[in-house]
Amino acid sequence: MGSIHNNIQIFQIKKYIKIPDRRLFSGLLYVNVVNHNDNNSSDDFIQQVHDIDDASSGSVSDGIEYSSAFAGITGSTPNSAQTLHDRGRNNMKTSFADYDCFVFHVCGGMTLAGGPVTPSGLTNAQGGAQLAGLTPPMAQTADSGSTYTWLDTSAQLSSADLSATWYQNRSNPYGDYCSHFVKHHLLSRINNASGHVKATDGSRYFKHRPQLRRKFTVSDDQHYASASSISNEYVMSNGTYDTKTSNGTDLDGKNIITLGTGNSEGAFIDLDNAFDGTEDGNTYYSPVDRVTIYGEHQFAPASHFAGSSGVWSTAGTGAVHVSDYWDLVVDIGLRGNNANGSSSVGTSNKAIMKSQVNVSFQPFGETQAFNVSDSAHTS
Amino acid sequence: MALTREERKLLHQKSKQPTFGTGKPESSEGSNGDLSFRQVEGSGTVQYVKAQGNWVAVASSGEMPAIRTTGSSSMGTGGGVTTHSSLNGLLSDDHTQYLLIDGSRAMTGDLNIGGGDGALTFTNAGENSIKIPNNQASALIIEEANNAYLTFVTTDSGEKITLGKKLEAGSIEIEGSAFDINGGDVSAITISGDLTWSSDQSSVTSLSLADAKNINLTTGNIILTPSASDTITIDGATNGVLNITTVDNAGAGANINITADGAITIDSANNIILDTAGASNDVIFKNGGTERFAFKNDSTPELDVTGEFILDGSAGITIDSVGETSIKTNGSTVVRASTAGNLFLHAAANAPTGYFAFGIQMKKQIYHFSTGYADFQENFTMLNIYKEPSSFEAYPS
Repeated sequence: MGSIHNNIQIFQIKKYIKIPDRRLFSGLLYVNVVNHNDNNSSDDFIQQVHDIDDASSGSVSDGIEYSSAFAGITGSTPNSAQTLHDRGRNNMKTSFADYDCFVFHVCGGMTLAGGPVTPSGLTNAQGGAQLAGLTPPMAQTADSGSTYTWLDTSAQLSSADLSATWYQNRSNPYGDYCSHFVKHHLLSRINNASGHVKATDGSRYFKHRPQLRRKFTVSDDQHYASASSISNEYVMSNGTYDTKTSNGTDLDGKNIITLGTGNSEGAFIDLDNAFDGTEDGNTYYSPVDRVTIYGEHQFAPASHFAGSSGVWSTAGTGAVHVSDYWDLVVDIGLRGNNANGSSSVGTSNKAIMKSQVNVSFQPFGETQAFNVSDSAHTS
Repeated sequence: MALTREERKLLHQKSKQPTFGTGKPESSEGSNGDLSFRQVEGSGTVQYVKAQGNWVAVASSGEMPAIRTTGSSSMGTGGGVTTHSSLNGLLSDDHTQYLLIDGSRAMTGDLNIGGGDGALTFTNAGENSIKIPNNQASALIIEEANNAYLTFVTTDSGEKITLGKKLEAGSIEIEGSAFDINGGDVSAITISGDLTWSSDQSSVTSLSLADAKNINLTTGNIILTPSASDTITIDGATNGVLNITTVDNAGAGANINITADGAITIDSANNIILDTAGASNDVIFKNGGTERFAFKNDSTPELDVTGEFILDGSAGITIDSVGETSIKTNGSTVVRASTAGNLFLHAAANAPTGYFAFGIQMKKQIYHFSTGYADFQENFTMLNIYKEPSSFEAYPS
């Protein structure tokens, strides 16, 4: 096993795709992320961090240096700053190689038919008098029952509040039978960052995270009444990088990086070559940590509290339960910075670099009604 | 012995001399044609004429005898004057029953003229007139029995001549300076000179022809001049060309307005040409006052439609342009067919130099493509999303 440090610093990009209830689809989902073309005149991110960190002028921000992409962790403190290994790509300006591309087969949908669960065995109350009669009381009246106000907010109970059924049990809010049945299968992931190895000289390293590919199989073609075997693959990258033509001719300067000054025949360096003297090729940067894909719908019971007790309802004012649409969430975890810098491990508040994200979703199935948003749909 | 010629002449003269006497002459007296003046009691002097063997009283200084009588003898027996010129007081106007040739005695009764050509003839070389009384509703009526042909009304402020019968003027001219023909029917008229309506047309409401009648002009025009130097000319030309020309002498406000309380049909056997000019050159169709079609008729023609517009063809509809064909929505191009046959959707740009355009190229954000049959059935969609992180570390430099 190689070095593992599971401190996760992610900057999420989420896309919410509104879909009607109970529409089955399947289709391809492409996710392409690349170092932004603003950085096209710079070296690739690994080389650039090294060069700037190693130079007398310029600097790499602590948010980058001590992010999970580069730093190890000792407890809750990032490892001390170390010089990133020199990959020998100075001035090659190959920031374009910092990409990560995914192809998923996405299938499923979400059913909202079940709806909120009606609790059993819980004390419930309906109307101002009953809410005021709970122990402890949740509402009170100052005009002999003409109107009631909530004890926690002092707001007058609305007609929705008065007609709703409220269940008393703070630790057991409403259940909901709605569920997504979205599954995805990673068909392919290709990047140029799968070859990083922790340098033996103690210099820091890029930590690459795989994307899970799961397979359910049996051993042969029979009707099984037993559970299938589950096999997981953790894919760092796929992809073959050709260095020869189909007739075996080596690619040359027309195709691949050429080293040297031109005074003598240079070497042609492919991504897998250890032209820097080490054996770890594919040492570019992947801006993506993980991609997740799932369904989500609006479900938020209204609640009021009195001390350690509370009541919940799906019908009171402020309660939300959407039963006619849901969101397919494409959740792209970009590698994030360490907002705390060098002092401690902190939650990311920035992507570690500016990237370009392109998502293509090509669903085939029971609907062509979609609505894409950066936030969850509420209507 | 026979009478000599002189004797017969004298006898004849004597026989033609009126006789005088008293009482009514007897029928046996005198001969036909003889005259006799008789003093008749109750009648004064009565003039008798013998006709057909009877004496007929034809005049009297008093009342006429009740009946005509015949007398046995007309001849006076006395030895009175037998020669009229020998009578005394011939110039005495004591026979008031007679008209005087100088017209100094007014007639007291009706005048009956036997008639004939020139029965009433004026011979004065100077002015001749028939004077009629003033301020009379029927100052003079020329009538047959009581059937008036011509009535002269001298009623003050209402003086007129009323024709009771058709006036046939033949080929003669009727000239005047202030004709007032009011009402009636002019069955046919030929006007050789100008026909000018007077300035006072306050009571004129229309110029009407009976059904199926025509106004026939050859090479002349109908010219309306509603204001000075501003004209409307309707004229015809060879081959039946119709020209309606309006002129606003001081500007360009000589509009032509046609208001029909029904349909207007222009049925042409050839082109219908609407030729506009100037800056305001639209050809506009309205419905109930609301503009519906406006043809911008200039070097960059444009059809502007107000309202939901449907192009409904009973056969194929072809849009054929030499240059690009574009369809816009709210000013933005959504479909563009290039001259090379490429279809660009949603303002997609041409291919960069050195590259080829695809058959269909689309510029669209997120919602690129979808096709399907129905909800739950056969739907395929292509959603493409671009995103950059909202916050990121600066690239090390």
